[in-house]
Amino acid sequence: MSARDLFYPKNKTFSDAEEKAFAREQLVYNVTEDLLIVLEDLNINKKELARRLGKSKSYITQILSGSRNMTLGSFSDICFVLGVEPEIKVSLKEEAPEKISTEDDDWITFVADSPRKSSTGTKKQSNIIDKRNPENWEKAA
Amino acid sequence: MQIQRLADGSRMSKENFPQEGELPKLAGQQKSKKFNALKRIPIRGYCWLSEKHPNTYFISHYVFKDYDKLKEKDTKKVRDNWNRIEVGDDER
Repeated sequence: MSARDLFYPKNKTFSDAEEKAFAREQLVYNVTEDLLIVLEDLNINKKELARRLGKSKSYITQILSGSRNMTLGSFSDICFVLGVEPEIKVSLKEEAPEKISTEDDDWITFVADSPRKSSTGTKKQSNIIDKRNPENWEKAA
Repeated sequence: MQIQRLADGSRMSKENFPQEGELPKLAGQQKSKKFNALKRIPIRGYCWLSEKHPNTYFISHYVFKDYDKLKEKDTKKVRDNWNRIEVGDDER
């Protein structure tokens, strides 16, 4: 059951534009909420985060409330100054049609207090297609 | 989205899901439990974690709120709904 069932009739259909807007809001909300939890766990307030980033507190407030767009660059900067590692996972919907979201499948998760990987280090990602492998050519086409 | 996240069992931040007021005490209970607020300016939804129904949050009511202080009438409404559902077993 989706939380949307609480507010809309069961047979209500949504247009692509509505679904797109909802997906966008959901991603923004979940990312900002995860960042707020990391801040709480690390006992760092917005003022301190602003200081570490060299930004104003109002900028941080706007970013974390979702009222200001957060670029991937600023997202990375925030994670860097907090010492957490962002993990972004992009997967095809067809892979798990029945499963919308679980704790293990969050798009973005954080590992607090873990040392950052060196910039030269590589990490195996499930959503990376190795084009050198002919088996993946058809999949990628 | 907040309800979906709550339903998914994901953690909620204290900023957007703060504890607001106190619930009535059950018989034999020493300390009052608190109710929470789903906070999204300018809307606030008051809810509590049920003792009677495991892993269930009941949403008492929503208010339009562009101020921070909790009003006594909202606390009363949450407590009345809590009594009706948790004590009176009336979920309608």
